[in-house]
Amino acid sequence: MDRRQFLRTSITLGAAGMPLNDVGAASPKESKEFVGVLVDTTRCIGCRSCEAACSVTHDNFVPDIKNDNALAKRRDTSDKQWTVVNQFSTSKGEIFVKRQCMHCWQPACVAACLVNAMSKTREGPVTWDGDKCMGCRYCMVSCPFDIPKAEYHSTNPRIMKCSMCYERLQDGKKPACVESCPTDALMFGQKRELMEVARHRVYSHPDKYVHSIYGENEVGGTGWLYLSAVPFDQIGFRTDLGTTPYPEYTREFLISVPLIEFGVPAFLLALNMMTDRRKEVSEDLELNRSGDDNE
Amino acid sequence: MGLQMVRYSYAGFFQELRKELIVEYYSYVNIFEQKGAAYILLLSFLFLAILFIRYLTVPEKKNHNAEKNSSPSGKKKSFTVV
Amino acid sequence: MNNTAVAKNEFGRFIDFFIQELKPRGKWLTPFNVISILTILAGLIILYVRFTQGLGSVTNLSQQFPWGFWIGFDVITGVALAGGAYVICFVVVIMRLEKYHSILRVTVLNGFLAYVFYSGALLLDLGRPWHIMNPLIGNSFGYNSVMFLVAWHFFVYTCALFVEFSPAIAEWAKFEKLRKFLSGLTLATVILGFTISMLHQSGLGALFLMAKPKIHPLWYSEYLPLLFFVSSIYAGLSMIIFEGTISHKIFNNLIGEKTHHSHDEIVLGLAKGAAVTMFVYYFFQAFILLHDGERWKLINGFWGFWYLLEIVGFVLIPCFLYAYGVRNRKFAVIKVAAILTVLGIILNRLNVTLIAFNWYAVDRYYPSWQEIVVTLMVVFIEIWVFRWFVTRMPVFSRN
Repeated sequence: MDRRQFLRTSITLGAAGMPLNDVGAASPKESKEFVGVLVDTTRCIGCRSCEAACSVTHDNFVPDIKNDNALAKRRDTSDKQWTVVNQFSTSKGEIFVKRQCMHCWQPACVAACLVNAMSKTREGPVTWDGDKCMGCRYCMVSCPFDIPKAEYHSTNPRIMKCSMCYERLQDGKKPACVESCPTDALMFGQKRELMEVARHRVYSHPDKYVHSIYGENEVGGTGWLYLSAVPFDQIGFRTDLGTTPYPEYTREFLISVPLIEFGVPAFLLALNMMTDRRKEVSEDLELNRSGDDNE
Repeated sequence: MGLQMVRYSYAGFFQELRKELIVEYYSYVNIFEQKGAAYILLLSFLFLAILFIRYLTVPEKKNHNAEKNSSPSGKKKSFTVV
Repeated sequence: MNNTAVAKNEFGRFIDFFIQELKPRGKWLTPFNVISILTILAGLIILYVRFTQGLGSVTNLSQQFPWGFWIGFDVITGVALAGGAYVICFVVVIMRLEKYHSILRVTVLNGFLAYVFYSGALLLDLGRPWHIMNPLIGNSFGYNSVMFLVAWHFFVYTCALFVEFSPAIAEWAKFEKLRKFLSGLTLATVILGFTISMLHQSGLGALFLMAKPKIHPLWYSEYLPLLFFVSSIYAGLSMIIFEGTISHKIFNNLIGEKTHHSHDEIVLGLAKGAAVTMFVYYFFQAFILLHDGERWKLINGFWGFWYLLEIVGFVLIPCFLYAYGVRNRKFAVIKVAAILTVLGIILNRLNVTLIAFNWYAVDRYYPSWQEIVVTLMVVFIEIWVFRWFVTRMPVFSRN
């Protein structure tokens, strides 16, 4: 067995054995690293089993993946589907890209949510809690990937987005889409290991992949990582989002809040006391003057 | 890997012709150009602000009835109002 | 024993008095009444549809435009225009410029009603408004959210405005001791109110800090909170001038002679303040435009023109109009300046929230007629309530 095969086998074994880590989930387990999914778009064949599996698992609209010819149009996730696959015609042929919530390391939506309905779980997935959500849609405004979708035609609207099958993860299973993928285009695991696998693939096949992993540093790092044969802006990814985690953008403002709440009242009180003194002085002067003028 | 990419541009306060090396992910930016504009703006703001506030606060001209009802201001001279 | 009997007596008297005061006065069939009642009824029907069939049935909200006219105009613009309350309170109570005392109560009343109604409009826009208590009752505070800060500050400030106005209510209900007590709270409430206002006016701007990739770079900057705060100052002052001219015409009978005369001086003072603030704001915008070399290049094409229109046409020009009007005591010019300024604020807020937001989107958002009718409904109800307060309580003239 050569080195490459050894690495591949051990990583696959390791990856396969990872769900076993969560078997003892009854006790609060110290999961020190976040989990994520590696999406290798060179392996995706556009079968859309992931779309169907996701919707079946979560009681959403299940698309007729054999007959609806949805790949002809560019779609976005919606209030009916948490994930979609799009088809792109590129210089390297047809490329299929699965999109869903990126489960960012420092999610903008979590920073935005004023009731903690959006929260970054300890294991990594970003989940939405309907018991807390007010429907203010600030998460939708803040998400750089425009992922959260609102049910505008419901009287009890939900925010619809991928949850990385958090409940399945608690049961030690993998996300439904990863399980359903027939070509191993989706790989679930801890981000550090996924990064190693991704880098390994890129270094081993430098002509097959673009030399960057989307999600490694974008918006401060995301849980879902992408490999591609062509530059990412050709397959529907925004490359202008920056590497600053989005909550950082509001940090300066939020930090100034206690400063203002303590400093300004003190300053205003001082101003008030100063004007008091000025008034006394000018009133004294006038009293004296009117005494002189006798008016 | 062979050829170096260069470009020529006018830069700097005295608009010298410069030869700049184009490196892939870093571009030379003359910060004095930007800061210069900001400084000029700030100085002009201060100067114009003084003029503007002087324009606004006109010394009290002789007013009509309004003066009768307002409380005496702290001026040195006092008019006897008819 | 005696005290509780007195309290009961007073309370009973107040209830009878209040019920009496609820009865309408004046003519019913004025043009304003007819139009406003019809609009309010239409709005209520639309709201019924909204609550039984979801937001999408009456609004043009979409996944790309989660915030529409109700948030962009009712809440964000409305709050900016209500900035007069904290400015005038600062001027009268903290800086003790008695010259402006006569407009204090009406401005505070306007501010209070604005916050009540625009928070109400916010409730209409929420997906799950019955969870509105969540950020307040503490079962899960999102400390790291700017929205959390804004929500709390709205709530506290509305209470503060009520406390600031309450002496007028106590005076009306003839609770003299209560009035004295409430008046004593004024300084503390005003200090609190000013601090709170600074934070939520700038907080409304900070809401958009994370929307960096979505807002056109001419409108997005890290200084958004500061720009929103400074513009709320002159927005409030201009709104006082604008509303003042209307009130003085409509409620002429309620305003004393002396107040009419001193009102001119007040308008001049407010216009002066607005002019200076706008001057500073304009240079702020110029600084932001120039300090980062790339931004200046964006002044071309439609968006560059649109930006210049907002900054020059609706900030710089009214600023000069104010200055000219103040210097030459031309009140018509000042009124025009006030209207231009208010339009400019509306333009700026709508630009940041709706127009320059997702400016590259293929399907643009524009408000549906139902959204506009509901907005008008909110404004009309607010005017009705204002009218009720002003015709019964000592708001304009002091006893």
